Amino acid sequence: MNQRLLAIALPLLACLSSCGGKGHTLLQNADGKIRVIHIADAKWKQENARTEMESILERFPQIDLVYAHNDPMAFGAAMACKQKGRTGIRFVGVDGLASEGRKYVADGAIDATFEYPTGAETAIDLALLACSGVEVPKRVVLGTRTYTKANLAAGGEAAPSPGEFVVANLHHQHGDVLTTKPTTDVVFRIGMAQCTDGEPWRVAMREQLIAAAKRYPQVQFDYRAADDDTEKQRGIVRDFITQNYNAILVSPKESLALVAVAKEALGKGIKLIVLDRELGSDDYTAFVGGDNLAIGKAAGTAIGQLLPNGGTIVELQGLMTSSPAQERHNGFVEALGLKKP
Amino acid sequence: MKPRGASPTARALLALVGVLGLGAAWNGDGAFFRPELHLDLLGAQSVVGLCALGQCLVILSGGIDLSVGAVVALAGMTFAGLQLEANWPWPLAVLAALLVGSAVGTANGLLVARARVQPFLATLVLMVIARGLARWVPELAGRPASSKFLPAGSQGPAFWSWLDGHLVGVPTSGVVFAMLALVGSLLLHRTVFGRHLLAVGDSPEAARLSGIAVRKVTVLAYLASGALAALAGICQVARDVQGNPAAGEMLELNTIAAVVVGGTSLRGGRGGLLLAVIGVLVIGYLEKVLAINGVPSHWRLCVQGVIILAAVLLQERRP
Repeated sequence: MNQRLLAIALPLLACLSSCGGKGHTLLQNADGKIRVIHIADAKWKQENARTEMESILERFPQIDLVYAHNDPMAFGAAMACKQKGRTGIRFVGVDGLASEGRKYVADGAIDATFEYPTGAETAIDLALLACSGVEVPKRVVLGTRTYTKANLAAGGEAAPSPGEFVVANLHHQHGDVLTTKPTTDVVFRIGMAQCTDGEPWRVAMREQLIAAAKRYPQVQFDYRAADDDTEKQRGIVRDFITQNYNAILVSPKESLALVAVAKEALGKGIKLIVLDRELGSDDYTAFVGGDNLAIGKAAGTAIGQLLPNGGTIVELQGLMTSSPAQERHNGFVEALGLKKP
Repeated sequence: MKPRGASPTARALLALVGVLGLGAAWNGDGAFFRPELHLDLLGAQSVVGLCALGQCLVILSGGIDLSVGAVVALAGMTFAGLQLEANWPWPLAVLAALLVGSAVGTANGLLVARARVQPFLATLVLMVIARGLARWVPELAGRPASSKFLPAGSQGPAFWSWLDGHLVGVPTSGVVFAMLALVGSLLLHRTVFGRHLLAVGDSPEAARLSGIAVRKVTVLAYLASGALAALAGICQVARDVQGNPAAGEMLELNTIAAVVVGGTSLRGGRGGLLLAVIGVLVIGYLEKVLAINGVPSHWRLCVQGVIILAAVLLQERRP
């Protein structure tokens, strides 16, 4: 028995010792003034971020800024600092939802947030255009918006992408299609197969989709969510196909898992608009989504401006198996030119 | 109780001392020796701890409760919604949340004791239903389903700040957890109900033959678990300053792990609430030690698995 325990404990200690002894700078910029001293995986969750931050505060007496991959984590970290009376730390988050990030910025709980657009309005517009026989761009990548306390009242500072100009141009050219007062009584049926409803950003997407569809009397919109279940989502798309919808919107839970039904839909002449997450193949009419790498870069640039004389940064990451977390990290690293010391 | 080698308490304490030793050796530049770290830990573990107490009671009765995480969400949403949207005073909102949790617990208990559904399945059903209800609650307040309940500013009602604050330096929710653990432990080991619960878990047939109201005891165990999970949900709302329908995910598994690491047998009848507290602390301290040393999360998961295995091997040791 004791040998068994020893056999478990020794490799464990060896593993720990290899992890812990790295010193205090994980990443630094060219002149070594901006340093990332700690990176923790808080899995997108506010409560995880808070407990991680509590530990981090005990370990590091000097922290200048916390970069969190979403607003709830930034807020959780801010709460930990507030509880411990640690002031002078800046907090930067991502997502910029009206109900979360922007409110935290307005309250002064966090310093900046970057909008991760849902693409809802654009997706409805593209679906309507495609149904009406208009050639739509294959990929529309949306820009971001920076929200700070100073610019919040003015609606933030937009950093539009080329994709948005393309969409604006379509509005201009095809005003007869994207009209809220159609002259014919042709109705297009558009269905949305959402991967899940269970997070605030997805809830915001749902509400925006419904609101965007409501603008057009010629659109009959149907929203269905798959509760984070790929099989269910496939079923929803298949149902839309059987029910002869004109266009299907889908935000895939897993890339590749929906390629077969996507082919089926296109084969029947149904327009397929992919939102936010990649389908994994070319079998769609148009893709609309935000750009996490650009958001990471925007955050990195803003952080550089918040720390003109350099400083120490703690990064609270989302689930690093997900591409948004990887890209929000990579963009941040790229913008600040961070490297391992 | 049959005679055995080292007592379960001694073994559980050994595991705790082991993890504390690991923390002392691996102290993250002295962070482990700061008292605040240990107080933070008590506060952070109060939610999982309160649920683990209920989970432990159910496991002692020979069952299992998979619904605790969903009850945390449902009771939390009830509490937050009543306070923020309906402007109920906090005592009534707390009472309503406790009633909701108790109702789910009672449903679990009746399914298990009356309808003879296996505990795993019965509580799985309630887990799914409670999670669904938690997502539906916002619609009652005229908000989109699945959305969170957030206060107007970044600060919640005064009661939330109090619950998330400190009582004589100790996190309030941690104090609630510690007191309930003590009271619960006394009830379990010093009252007839407690002895009956252990007897039912040990052998329902023998318990029935000796005249114990097996069904009643079983229903009460699940009811207590639901109520404790509801209390945990209230603490979670106060800690997060929001009602979140996604709160408490994976909590069912974490509480089972804590109960088992503490040394309560999954077969029922043997163990205690203070053991569950030790189990919660062992896992909590392990996470803390890994966190202050900046161990990447993939390694953390592996290390946690290994530690749970080690604790279980230690518990399973028979003289």
